[in-house]
Amino acid sequence: MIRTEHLYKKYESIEAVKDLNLSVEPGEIYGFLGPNGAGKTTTIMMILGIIKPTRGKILIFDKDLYSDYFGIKRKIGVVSETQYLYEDMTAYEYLSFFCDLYGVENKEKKIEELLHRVNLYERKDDLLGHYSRGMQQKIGFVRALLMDPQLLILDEPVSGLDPTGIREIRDLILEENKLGRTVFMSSHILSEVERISHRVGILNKGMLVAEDTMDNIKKKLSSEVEIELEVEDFDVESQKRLEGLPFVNSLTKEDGKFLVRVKADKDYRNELVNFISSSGAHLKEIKRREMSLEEAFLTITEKNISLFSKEEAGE
Amino acid sequence: MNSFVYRLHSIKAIIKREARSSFFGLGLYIAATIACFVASFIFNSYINTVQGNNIMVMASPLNNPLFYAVIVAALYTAISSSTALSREKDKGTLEVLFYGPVDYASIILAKFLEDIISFLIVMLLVTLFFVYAAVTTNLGFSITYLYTVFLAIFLAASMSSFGLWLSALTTKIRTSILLFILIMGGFLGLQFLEEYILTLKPENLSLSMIYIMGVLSNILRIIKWASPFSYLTNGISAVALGSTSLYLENMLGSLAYTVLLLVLTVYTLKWKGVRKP
Repeated sequence: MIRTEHLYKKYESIEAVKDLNLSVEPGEIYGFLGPNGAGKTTTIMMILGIIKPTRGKILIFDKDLYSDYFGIKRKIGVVSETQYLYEDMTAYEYLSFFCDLYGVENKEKKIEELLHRVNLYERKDDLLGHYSRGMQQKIGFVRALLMDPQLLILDEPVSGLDPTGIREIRDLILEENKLGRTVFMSSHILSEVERISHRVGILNKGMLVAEDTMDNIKKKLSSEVEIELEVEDFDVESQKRLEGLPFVNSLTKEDGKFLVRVKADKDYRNELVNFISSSGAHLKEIKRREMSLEEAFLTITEKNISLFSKEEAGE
Repeated sequence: MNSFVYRLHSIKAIIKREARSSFFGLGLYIAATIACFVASFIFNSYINTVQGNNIMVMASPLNNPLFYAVIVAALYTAISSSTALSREKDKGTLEVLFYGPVDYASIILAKFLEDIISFLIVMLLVTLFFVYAAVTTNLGFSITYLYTVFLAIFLAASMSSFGLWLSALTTKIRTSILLFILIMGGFLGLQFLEEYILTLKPENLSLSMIYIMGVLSNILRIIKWASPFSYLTNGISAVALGSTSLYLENMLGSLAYTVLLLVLTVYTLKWKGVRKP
């Protein structure tokens, strides 16, 4: 759906984006992460043709943007962090203008339907200058959905919204994805990205340092996984035998619970359950401690590591 | 649909929005009121002349007031154009337009055409006033009125293209207006300087001074082609003189100037970008 090849952007002496190769597959929600100044917005602006890359290639729907500029732009819905609306227009007038721009048929019906979805139909005749930030963000989403886009590009879509607003926008994104729309979303709210993205790409200092599913990124980052066990009648002898299992790295006891560090190459919970049962102990609870996206993100960006192999990085 | 049709579609949608904004705004009506006000001063002086002398001989009495009305309307067009792109950049709305099916050529053409439509609306209101004035004062219409109005469209086009270019250069409304005043003042100053040079008598000047004045005069003549004001004043002179060749020359000159400036505006906007500063 989107593919960049060796995308590079330099502003005078600053390298904003370096040799970026990312790919967004049809139908997925792709979370585009990175600390402030990592080059996320520059990348999005290059994809949209608003900023010209210094070099490199961008393909949208497998085509160069300029081979069918208007045709491609008519299939993309964009929501940015700030909406920059025409504040002297009412919501209806504004959306009607964008329907005209995108050539939307049955615009009255479409506007009505989308405004109902975001609970703003009753406010359709209010000036946009009188809208709250959350309402403006919703109008931005409605604008992006007017033409039934195949691709949604969202740049920090929930930034500055309250929890209710975030939930409403999240639900909207998920609903649209279920309808088959591909979503490319940059956000610094990691919990949101973790919750809805199928795959994430992490950009650090202009370079893509990871691009995979959340599970795979966590696996690559960690050589071991922590499993928490709540066990009764677990004698010392059995504990020693457990520690000696080939996939177990260590066993510790914290607050009455056992913490087993096992290798990350596969899920060893079944093996642990079988071992405890065979030792005659009673297993009350078993829990795998997951690395959060936030932990993964911080590990990658603070330690400045890349999860790509040399072959993947094209070196 | 091909790109050409899509582009036309985008241009049409933007013109519609802009025209709505102008139609419900005050600028257009203020410009028409000022134009009529200026013209009415001249009408008044004619009436005073008739009252004082019992006679006034003039081939096209509406021409002079019309010239001033055209200057006011063209100035309104230039001011409106000079903020057209910078206002949208300043507010961030230009960036949002570029998220969708809008490119540099389509936004500039849309803004330009809307400026011309606004100019025509001002001229329509002015013409209604002139019809009223002609009926009440018995000052007759002549064919030169139509010639002037037709030529005025080309003059407004050159003013608009110049304003749009200034607007593409800047990112803030205030900067655009200041730059517009500065450049327009500069062009007017150059015109006055040229006229002053022409009044100087060579016998009163030293040889080196004559040489400097000669070079300066040639430079000014070239620079003058860059000023939309010169097309306005030359056009008005062409109508006043009744010279068809000057009239056509000015019309074609304005057209070439407009096309050149619009192309320059496209490249300037590409270079400066459409993002909010």
